[in-house]
Amino acid sequence: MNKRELRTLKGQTLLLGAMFFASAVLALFLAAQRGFFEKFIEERYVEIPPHLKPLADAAEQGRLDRAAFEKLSSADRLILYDDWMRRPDPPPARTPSALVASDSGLYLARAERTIVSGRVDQKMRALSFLELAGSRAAIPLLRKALQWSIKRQTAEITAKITETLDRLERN
Amino acid sequence: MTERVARRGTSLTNRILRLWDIRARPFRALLRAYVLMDFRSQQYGRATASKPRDLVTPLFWVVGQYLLLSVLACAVLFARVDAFCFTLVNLGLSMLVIGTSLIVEFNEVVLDPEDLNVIGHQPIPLRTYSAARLTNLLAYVLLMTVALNIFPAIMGLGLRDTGWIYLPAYAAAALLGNLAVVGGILLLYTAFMSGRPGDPIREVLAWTQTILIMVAFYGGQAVFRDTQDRLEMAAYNLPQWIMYLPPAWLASFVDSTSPARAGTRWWILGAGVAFNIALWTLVLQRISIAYARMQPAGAAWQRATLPVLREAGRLGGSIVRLLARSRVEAASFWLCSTMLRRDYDLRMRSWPSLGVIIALIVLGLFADQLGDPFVDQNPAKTVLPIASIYLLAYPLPAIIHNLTFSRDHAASWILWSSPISDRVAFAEGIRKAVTYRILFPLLILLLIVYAGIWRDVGHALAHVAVGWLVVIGAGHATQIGIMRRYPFSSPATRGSIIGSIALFAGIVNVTAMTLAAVHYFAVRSLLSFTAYVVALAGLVYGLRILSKRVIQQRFAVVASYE
Repeated sequence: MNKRELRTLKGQTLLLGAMFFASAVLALFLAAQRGFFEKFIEERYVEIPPHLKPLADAAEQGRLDRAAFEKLSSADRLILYDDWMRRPDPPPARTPSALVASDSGLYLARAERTIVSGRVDQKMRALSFLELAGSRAAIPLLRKALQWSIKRQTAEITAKITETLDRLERN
Repeated sequence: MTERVARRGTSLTNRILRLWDIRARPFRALLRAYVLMDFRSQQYGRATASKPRDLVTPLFWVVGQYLLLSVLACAVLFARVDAFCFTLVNLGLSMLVIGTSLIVEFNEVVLDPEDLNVIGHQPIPLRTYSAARLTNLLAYVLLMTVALNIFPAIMGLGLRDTGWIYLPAYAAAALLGNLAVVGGILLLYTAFMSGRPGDPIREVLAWTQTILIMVAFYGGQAVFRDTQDRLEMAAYNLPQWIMYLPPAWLASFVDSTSPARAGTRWWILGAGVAFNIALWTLVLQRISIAYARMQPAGAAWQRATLPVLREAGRLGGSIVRLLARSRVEAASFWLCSTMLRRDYDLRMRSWPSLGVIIALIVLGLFADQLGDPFVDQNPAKTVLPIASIYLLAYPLPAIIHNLTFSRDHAASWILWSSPISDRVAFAEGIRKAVTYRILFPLLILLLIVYAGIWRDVGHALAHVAVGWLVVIGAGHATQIGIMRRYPFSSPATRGSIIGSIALFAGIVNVTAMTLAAVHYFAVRSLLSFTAYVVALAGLVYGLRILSKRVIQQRFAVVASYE
């Protein structure tokens, strides 16, 4: 088909058809690449600065200095969460309860964000955080996350949320 | 030949047409003409800078832009949000864009009183004309619906919470939603408004998809850079009011087909179909009346009279008198200001060059990266505010060069025959019109944004003052580099608008970015910043002196037109 023929109504319709066909093929290819897209969904945690290290160590022992903690900004308080998420397995067991006891709303919302937008291992760690925190305030949050996870058919996360929810409800 | 005609005469299509009392031959001829007009899309022709005889037609560009818009939106949303949010955003986008598309191409696809000038004397029954018009309209809606929804309809199959039924459910929802929007707009215009949208709104809406692509592109970057995961959390905690929006009803239907949902909400689909039938019955009634009442040259004629001009000797208002130093300067300032206000083409060509700065500010606001460079030394926080004032250099060459072109270029003989005694003053008037009419308001906006974010008016003023020097300097550099011809003296031809100044614009940008890098280091101490501002002012003054010489020698001389 030459340029003159392509300029006709039939040629232009064919061009449009070819573009739609190519788009459909590309869309099918992209639809099959969910794993690739999911690789970019992860949280990045900042390294703890030296002036917050003593607080993180104290939280690890379950003895958070409330006066020093109260002086921190929300951003600094969240660095303590980041630090806990960065720790190698197994993470300190007392930190979550110490942090949630000091600022329940902030840390529960932060853990919820990880469950929604973190990598699978990060989601698991956030669920451990909620479990170790032992706060019943996390129950409604976990129920919502459970519905969301069931709908998205993420079996591993669903199982872990169910387990965490069971433990919290039994406490 | 006779056999072919006879075969055509008894074909199924013809029998159906005859059943509806529609004459087949005029119907086919009209439909073919309307489809041709769709490809030529006059309004989009301007926005896409393509001509009716180009191989790649305006319609092709528009379909391509819709595909790009939807693939960008899908790439940003895919795997990040659930099926409901994915569907909601894509259906909403589709309904918004098809609405703007219909208004933009109203003449081509719905109703154009100028049709009567061409076919009014032909024996074409009203029913046949209406049928051809409506068939073309539905084909247009279908084409746009496919272009806007092919990616979300297929890519959605790859989401975690969708099954195979998602594809037909999404396709049905998209078609219903778009038909409802088109029907609603047609009803609005034919029943309550003047019968057709005005030219200004169509010109502006012709850029909608370009703007949306920019939003999707820059917004997508903001999503990928966002450390707060706002998109994912917004999708997870959708506000309740969203559920009152029609795209949410349709998205709810599509989402209910998910394997994890208890049951499919077929009633939403049924209600949508019933609503569309009722709406389109009304639309067909109204549009048939509109076709029947069409008058030759009725509403299609543009306004023949222009606003009354000021009296001779009193050109321009108080702003012109305040800014212009001489009558010649005032004359060119007034001319450019008037054309910037009056010529839609010119405005449409000029606005996109400002888009980068606005996008940068929005991106910075969204990603919390508009830090005060006088206080914060974190490059992640200060690069965007510094870049935003140096990017102000780019629009100057683009807009001043655009002023050379006009659809009324033939009227430039007035400038040739006018006694322009001072070329420098005339060129200064052009520069000042662009500077004060377009870039000064943008600088004021930047001042307000920075003063609000930094909570320090002094810092914001100092920062924007540097931006002002950049604007003045870029204006003089443009006078030196590309200002050679009288404004509005050439027709806007493809490739001449940006292509011929690409190198110069590149040099201006590189220089501006180099200065931005120097600014970044200079702002760390008051002394070095002061020294930098003084040096920058010196550079601007040097450019001003040089520009005067160049303008004297090269502006609007015969050699510039050879």
